[in-house]
Amino acid sequence: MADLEVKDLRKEFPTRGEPLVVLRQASLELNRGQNAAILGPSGSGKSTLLYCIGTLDTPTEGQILLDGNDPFELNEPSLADFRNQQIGFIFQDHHLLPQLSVLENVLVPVLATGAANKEATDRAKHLIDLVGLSDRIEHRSAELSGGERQRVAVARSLILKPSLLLADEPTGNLDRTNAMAVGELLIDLQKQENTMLLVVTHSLELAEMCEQEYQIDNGTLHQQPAKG
Amino acid sequence: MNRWQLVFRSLTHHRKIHFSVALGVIAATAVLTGALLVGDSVRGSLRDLALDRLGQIDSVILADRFFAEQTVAEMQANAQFQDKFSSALPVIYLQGTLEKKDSENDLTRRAGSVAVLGIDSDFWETGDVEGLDSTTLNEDEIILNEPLAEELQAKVGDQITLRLPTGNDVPADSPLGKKNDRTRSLPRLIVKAVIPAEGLGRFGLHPSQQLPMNAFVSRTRLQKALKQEDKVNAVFVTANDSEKFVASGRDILKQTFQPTLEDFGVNIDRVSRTFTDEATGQTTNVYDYYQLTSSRMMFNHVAEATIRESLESKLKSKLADKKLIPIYTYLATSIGKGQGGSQELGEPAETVIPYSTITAIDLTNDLTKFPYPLFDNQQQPITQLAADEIVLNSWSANRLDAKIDDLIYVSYFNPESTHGEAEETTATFRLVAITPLTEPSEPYSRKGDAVYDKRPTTANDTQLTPEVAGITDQESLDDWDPPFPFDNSRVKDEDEDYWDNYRTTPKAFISFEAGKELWGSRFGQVTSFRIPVTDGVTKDSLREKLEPALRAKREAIGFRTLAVKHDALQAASGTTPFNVLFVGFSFFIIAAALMLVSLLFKLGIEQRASEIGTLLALGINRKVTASLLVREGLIVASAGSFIGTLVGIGYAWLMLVGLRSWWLEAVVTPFLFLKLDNPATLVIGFFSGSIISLLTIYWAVRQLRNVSLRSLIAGQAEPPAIVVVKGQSRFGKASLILLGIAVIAAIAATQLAGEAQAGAFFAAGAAVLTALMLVIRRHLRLRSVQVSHASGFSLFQLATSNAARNPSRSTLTIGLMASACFLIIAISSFRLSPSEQGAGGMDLMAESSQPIYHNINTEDGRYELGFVQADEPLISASSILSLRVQPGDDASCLNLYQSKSPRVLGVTPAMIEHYSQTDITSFAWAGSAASTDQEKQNPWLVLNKVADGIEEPIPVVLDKNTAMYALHLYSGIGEEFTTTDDDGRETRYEVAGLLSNSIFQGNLLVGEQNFLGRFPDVNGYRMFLIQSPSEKSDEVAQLLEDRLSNEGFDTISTTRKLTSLLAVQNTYLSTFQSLGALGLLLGTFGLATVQMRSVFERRGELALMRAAGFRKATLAKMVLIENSLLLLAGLCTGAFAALVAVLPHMLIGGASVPFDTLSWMLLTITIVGLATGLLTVRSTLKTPLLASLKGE
Repeated sequence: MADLEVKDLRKEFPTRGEPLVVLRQASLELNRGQNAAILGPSGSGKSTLLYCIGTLDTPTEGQILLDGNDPFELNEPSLADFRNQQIGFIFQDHHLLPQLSVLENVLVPVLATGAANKEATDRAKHLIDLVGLSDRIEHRSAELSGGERQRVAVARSLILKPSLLLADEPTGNLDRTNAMAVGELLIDLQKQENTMLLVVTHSLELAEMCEQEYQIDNGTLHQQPAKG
Repeated sequence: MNRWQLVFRSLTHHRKIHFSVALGVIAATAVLTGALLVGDSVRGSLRDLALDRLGQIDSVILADRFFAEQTVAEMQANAQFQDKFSSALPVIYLQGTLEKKDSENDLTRRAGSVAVLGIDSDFWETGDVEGLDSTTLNEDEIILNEPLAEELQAKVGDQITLRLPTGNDVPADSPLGKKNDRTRSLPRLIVKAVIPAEGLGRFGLHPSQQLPMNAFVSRTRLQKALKQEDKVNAVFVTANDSEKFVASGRDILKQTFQPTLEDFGVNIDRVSRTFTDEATGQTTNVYDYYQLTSSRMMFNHVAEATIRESLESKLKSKLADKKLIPIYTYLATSIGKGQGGSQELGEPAETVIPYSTITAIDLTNDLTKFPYPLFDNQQQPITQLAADEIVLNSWSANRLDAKIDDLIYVSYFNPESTHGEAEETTATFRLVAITPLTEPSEPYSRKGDAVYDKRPTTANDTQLTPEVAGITDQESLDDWDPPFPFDNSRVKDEDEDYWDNYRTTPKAFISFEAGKELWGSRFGQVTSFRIPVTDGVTKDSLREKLEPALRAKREAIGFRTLAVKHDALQAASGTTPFNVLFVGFSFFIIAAALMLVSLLFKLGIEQRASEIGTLLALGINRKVTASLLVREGLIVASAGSFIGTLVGIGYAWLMLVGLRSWWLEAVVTPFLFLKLDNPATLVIGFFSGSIISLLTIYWAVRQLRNVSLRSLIAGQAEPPAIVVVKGQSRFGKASLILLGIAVIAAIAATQLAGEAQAGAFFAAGAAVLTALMLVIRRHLRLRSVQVSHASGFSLFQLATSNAARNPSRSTLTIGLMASACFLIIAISSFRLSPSEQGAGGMDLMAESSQPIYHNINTEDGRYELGFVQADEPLISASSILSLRVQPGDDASCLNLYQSKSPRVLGVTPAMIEHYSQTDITSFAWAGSAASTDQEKQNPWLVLNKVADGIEEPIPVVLDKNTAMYALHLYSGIGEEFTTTDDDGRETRYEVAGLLSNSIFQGNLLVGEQNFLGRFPDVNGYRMFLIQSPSEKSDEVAQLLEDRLSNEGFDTISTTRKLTSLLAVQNTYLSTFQSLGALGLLLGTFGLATVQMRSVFERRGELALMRAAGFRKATLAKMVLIENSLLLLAGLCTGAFAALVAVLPHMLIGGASVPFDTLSWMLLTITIVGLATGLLTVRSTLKTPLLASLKGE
């Protein structure tokens, strides 16, 4: 059994007429240390798949098992805990809290279980160091460039050592140089942290960096042949 | 880092929006705290006023008669008194009339119902007074307070005439009581000073914030003028420790103030007659007894019962079988032989004896009980008479040629008269005995008693008749100056001879029971008591027994002990709970402020939707996320409430400034000042503001429950339209239920009273508003997801869809505007103007300082009152209804103090009869206990049910406003209540009728019979309703005031009276409206905020439209349409809600919509709203095109 199993995932949205089917029987598997990219045109359902896997959205049918656990069997607080402990998110728009510094932003997930202790703070500093922002640790997000903000988001996603990293167009708002740098950082840290990484992207260059590639089209997920 | 740090960071970062929210919280808390402080201030100011006007005076002993100053001196010497009290000032306290003749224009200015205080200089030491150089008051001087001086237009040095009632007379409503010349005039008093109506210048016994008219005169001057030397009728008492004895003062005073028998008007005389037989030289007693008499001709019922109780037990112990004999001697206008009747008056004079006294007494032949019986011709004691038996003295029997068993008739005046009209009645008896009289050898003279050379009989006793000034003290019958119709042509020489020889010796005797039946009245039924002189019974022993017994019943006999300060402080709690009133007034502002808080907080949340989404995505669960937001809200609410509490002090101050100026008519006098002596109010204000604001914020946060995480991450705080649509049917049901509740509440409001009515009214309004807001929200939700099937797509449609874009926000904005609009329209509908019905079709009403005993409606009555022939055309064309008055508290809206014992008016049968006419304007009835057709046609008839007010409640009619606001009678018809007089006597009443907005506000109206039963000491009439000939009101008013100046007759037009009464309600409505306008301001602020935010959110779209070639004017038009739609929706919603709430009141005539005023008001609101819209448009057009397109 894989560490992440997505089985026959279906997602519909209600409309005034027939429900809009966004995902159809999407399945994938991933193990710790592995990473994968999901490619597809706009509106193909790739972000919906990512949100469903990340438990931000509920699938209409199908199952998701992370380390053998089905998160959708949990109630809302447990689901939130599950997300907090098991999943790290990186969005296209970094979603840093403007009122917080770099360090504090990285520590935000820790607040789910209380205050940040020294251990958490040290880890945050370590991650910030890893993403190359040690000299910007006290800065607010408004004082950072787009690439820097996204690197903070990467550090934030790893603070609680999640087993699964989900990245939704992490380089979508960045120029090519920054995009490459963030992509490399992401995969580098994923390997270092021995976590799984699932990236939704339009960027072929970022997809190229990943070990596996999936193509989604009209809600149907196809695994691409393994890279040579 | 911890969660609180995150909260504080967020607070700082989003300070602008939080500042806006805090402003809303400040507004809500300030208004709430301010309302509570207004309540505190009203109570505190009333309290201050009470303390100020009473100075150090804690209690007052007030009698309905004059008593010896010596009694006051003895009280002061009492050790118990000295222990508790510091001083007792003997004072004369009367109500009088003052006149000032204006020499320049020969105009006489009058002021009636003036409190006249006969004082010494030490009175001024009991409190504060300004404007007085010297406290010594010469006997020809008078001090006026400012309101009185203003009424008389008098100044220092002017000459004033003071008219005062004379006291201690035979009741004027008795045919033997004087109706005229019951006032004394003190002319040419020089105004020594005019003092401000502050401190003692505002002195008054009854709590009222209204300015009294007070005059201060030398006590000795009043004593001389009233022929009451060394006597007073009041004592002002100051306690050593006012706080400590304020409650118990009354009891201690009762123990130390010890009125004597003379103070009670009870005299003990030893009546004896001896005869010395010249032949034998032997002296024997004809009779020898103690006699108790009253200075008021007869004992009132309580005094009689007290004397009987105390002496009968005394006699039992001392005399074993001796008897206390009650006697009632009355005036017979005729005694004749035969069946009698009015036709007998026409019989030959020799068969009728005019103007005689006749005594009702229980005769006995048991000499052990009373050793001086009446004897018959056979020298046998006459025994107890039956009810139809009579004994004549020998003189009368001879005069009538009457024999035993002859029928003897007795004509007499009914013992109670109304309007001074003595009615004559006749009773017939059978002659059972003739008691001999001995003719004196020398008749009575000025110098002394008659002299007998033969032994007088026990019937030769003038003392059986009480003293009546003007009658019993005259030298001849011809000199009589009686108050009843007296025809001296009926008096013959024989009658004058009788007067000379026997004076007031009764000519006939009947049983006491028969006398009581015929002549007993509310004034009493005993003119004297006899106690035979025997061992152990002395004047002193009788006094010892009687005085404590009478003291124990002092209140009922006329000595009231008033704990004036205690009662005033209690009454200061106020009739109207101003805190509740102003919270009610401010309810919609608070609601508007809270809606604003919700709206602004929601705006903040919407701005931070993606931030919230991120937190949720990072695994911080909804509860924790919500708690982070609520913590922010808590800090904002607490800080806002703290500042709001402080601002509330300013708000309260402003309200009080309003009540002293713009809304003065609501409180009549500008006496209200800010009181901050109750910290609990500030604490309650702070916590109330914090809690309601926090709940509002919590509600706003809870709205996020329905928003998906994905939407939040995407920055959307509204649930996806498609999801929302599913839940709309429950909104529809809720709206229908609310509308149903609104209709029920609106109808119920017409039936309820007081706070319940106000509650139902506002509940109806609030329910309609909520229902309509739900409908609007539902419509906007649907509109936001519906696809237009119209063939075209106009700018208007685009604007409409924009307004529907954020349904919650738009609904709240509409709600804000609607609340204010509802308030303004609903309140406008309840403004009142004087109506003819409010005055029962009468154009004048009047009150007199002194009672008027004659009937102004009859020519005879007017003649007696001093009207002249030239007055007849005008006055005879007028119709005057008289009412009796038992003084009491003013329980109208004009008095803010709690009324314990409202003034009671006695409604005469003539007045009830007047309103039985079908072609006249009657009073408007809000309800009555009428059950028969006749009563339904004239509800005044419900007052005819006889009740004593003790065992059975007296039916009472009162103004609905008095019932609700002063007496808190909310159950309407049938509700029972009890009033407590100053002396602690309780009277039960039952509401039998409620008048709508009438001139009788503040009074209890009861039937005359019940009135006299409960208040037997009230004589004459002091209130009048006058219907004058068309356009002659002023002339009639002037004529009445001139002719009845001695009585202090003071007229006022009923329109003016009603206007002053209704002004209170109308002013409250103005207050309410002003606060509604404040709510509107908040609504406008909300509207502006929403529009600004809306434009800001859509800056990209707007920029794109401009890039696509839209002109600035077109965009301005679009934004203005959106704004106007919200504004108009708010106005229409508020107007509809007001209509639903007001309609039932309009249908029953309790409200009318002033369409003119309202049109102007709504137009103003629209203009203000549109002006706000224009501001938004301006900001739209200022948005930089390029930056907006870049999304910066």
